[in-house]
Amino acid sequence: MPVTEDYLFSQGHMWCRLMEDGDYLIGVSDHAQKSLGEIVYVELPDPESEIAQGEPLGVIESVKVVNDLIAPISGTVIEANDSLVDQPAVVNDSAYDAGWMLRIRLKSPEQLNNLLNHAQYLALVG
Amino acid sequence: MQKHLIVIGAGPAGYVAALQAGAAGLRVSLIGGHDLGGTCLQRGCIPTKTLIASCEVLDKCRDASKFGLELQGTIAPDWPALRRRMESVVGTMTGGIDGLLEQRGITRIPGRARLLDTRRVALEDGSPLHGDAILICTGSVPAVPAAFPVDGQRVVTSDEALRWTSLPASLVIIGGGVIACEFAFIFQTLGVAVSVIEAEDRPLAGEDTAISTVIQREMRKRRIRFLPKALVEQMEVDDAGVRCYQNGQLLASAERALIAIGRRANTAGLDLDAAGLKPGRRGEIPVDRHLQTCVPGIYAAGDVNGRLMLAHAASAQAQLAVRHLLGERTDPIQDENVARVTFTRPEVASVGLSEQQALERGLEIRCGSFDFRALGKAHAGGELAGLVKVVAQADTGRLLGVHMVGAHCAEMIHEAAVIVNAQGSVEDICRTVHAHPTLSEGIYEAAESIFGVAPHKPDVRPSTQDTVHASYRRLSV
Ligand SMILES: Cc1cc2nc3c(=O)[nH]c(=O)nc-3n(C[C@H](O)[C@H](O)[C@H](O)COP(=O)(O)OP(=O)(O)OC[C@H]3O[C@@H](n4cnc5c(N)ncnc54)[C@H](O)[C@@H]3O)c2cc1C
Repeated sequence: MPVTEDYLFSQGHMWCRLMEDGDYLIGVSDHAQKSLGEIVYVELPDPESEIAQGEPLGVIESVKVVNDLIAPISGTVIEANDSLVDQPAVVNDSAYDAGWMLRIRLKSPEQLNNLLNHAQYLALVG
Repeated sequence: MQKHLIVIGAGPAGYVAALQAGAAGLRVSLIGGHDLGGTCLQRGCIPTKTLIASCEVLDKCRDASKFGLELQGTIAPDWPALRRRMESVVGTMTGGIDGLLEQRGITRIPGRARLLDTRRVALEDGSPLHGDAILICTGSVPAVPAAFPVDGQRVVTSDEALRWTSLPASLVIIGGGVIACEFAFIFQTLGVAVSVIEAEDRPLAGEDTAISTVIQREMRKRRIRFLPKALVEQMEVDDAGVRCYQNGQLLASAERALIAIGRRANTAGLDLDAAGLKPGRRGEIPVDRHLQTCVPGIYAAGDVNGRLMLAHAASAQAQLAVRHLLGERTDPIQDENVARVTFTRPEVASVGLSEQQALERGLEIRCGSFDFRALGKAHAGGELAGLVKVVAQADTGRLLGVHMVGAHCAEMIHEAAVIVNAQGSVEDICRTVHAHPTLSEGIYEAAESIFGVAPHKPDVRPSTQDTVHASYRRLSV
């Protein structure tokens, strides 16, 4: 799936994207996925919990490192991608699509201003 | 005339004291000879570690394909056979202790004793026995509040769980400490659906938070349900199983329940009063640094004094007590410098102060940590999970504590224990070349990362992150 205009990126290497129903999907960037290497475990918060921009929301383990996932936006977790529990490597195969992590109800739309578009993000990691 | 020492209880405290005193030429009567090895050997350390060894083999077999091996046929746990193996190991070790005591000419007396006065005890048949000194090593028993209807089958403590004739389909474990967590991993591996209810906000709350975080994650990976900050106030038991409630709200239900909320000193029925001894709040016998009670000539070593509740600490205390009563020089045991090991999957081991404890004492510290998964040996062995965390004094580099979670770390903690006890520094670790490939390289890397740059640390950033929260690492790629 190509990265389109509606993908926004945090400096913590996570993306978020507006869905038709007004919620946001979030996940990690393809760059992050590549740098981490084979992903072996993803720990995500339960539905109804809150995440806060800039704060850890969960954990990602690859064969190389264990890292906190840092929330790109604040909001309420509507759904977690449970399929990642058994198949964490989907994040490697499809970081922008099947490897999505959370569906979030956005709390503060102005936070989107802190995010980067794809070109800006590529310049950052380039 | 040859002095006579009476030792009450033949667990790791009592039988080791008897061996030591016997070797030093004392006449020794060891009471409690019906239960050689005590809790540790009969229903504690050794039976559980035997089960865990089987769980490790089981897991390895289940992962056979990951190791490039084809398992032809299936592999499944056989509880009666596991119990037979456990009993056989315990039998061998019990025989070993018995042989040692025999060689040293130690009189073993079965049954329970109680105190008559400051120098005499009554044996089970009522007959009195006089000694020049008494060492109380009666250990501990599971703590069971009245609200928990232990029936030995559906609702049990660790004592009865090891004697179950069959495994339940589901189990709720009340408590999230060492014994609770070990059993959670054992039973889940054997196919039981396990929930753990813990009053604190994390499992193994006595350990550094970085360690608890990893264990809680490993529980999640194995689908052990962990309920933090929950207190079982009420329990319902019937043919359908066990249901645990807090404030009338159902917390968890299962076929059976295991109560593992701690252990209390075993002093009931000892008649402490008769010798002028008073138990502390949890039934423990207070002692000084030589393990002597308020009555000269009466000592208390092991779980019964409520200090550490660890088998190796019990033996070390018992040896120290014997040296003291022989008038030999003794170095007091610093409790926090005794290594602690927990046989979860993976294992946990620590010695010295945690980051939180050091900060509470107002110490200026630096911490370094290292993930095992950055080591070749972890990949070769297929055991990636875990980390080493090193806590050191900021100005001098003195090693204050080392905390590990990962495969084999109970075997690896002693390097750190030696240095902490010798009041050495992280430098001592850094200038010791560690063999490759080993998991112990992780200790070296964690130590290096405090003041220098760990060669194999993937997310090296010269920042203070590690000093504040070793476990708090941002996605930094
Ligand atoms: C499930 C489980 C797993 C454990 N795993 C570990 C582990 O991996 N590592 C570790 O370090 N520790 C472990 N422990 C703790 C360890 O078993 C204890 O710390 C250790 O046994 C304490 O030794 P002790 O000699 O003080 O007492 P005990 O081992 O409890 O021995 C006391 C003995 O005294 C006897 N006794 C009591 N009253 C009398 C009396 N009036 N007269 C005569 N005899 C009496 C008792 O019957 C018993 O045999 C575990 C405990 C449990 C329950």
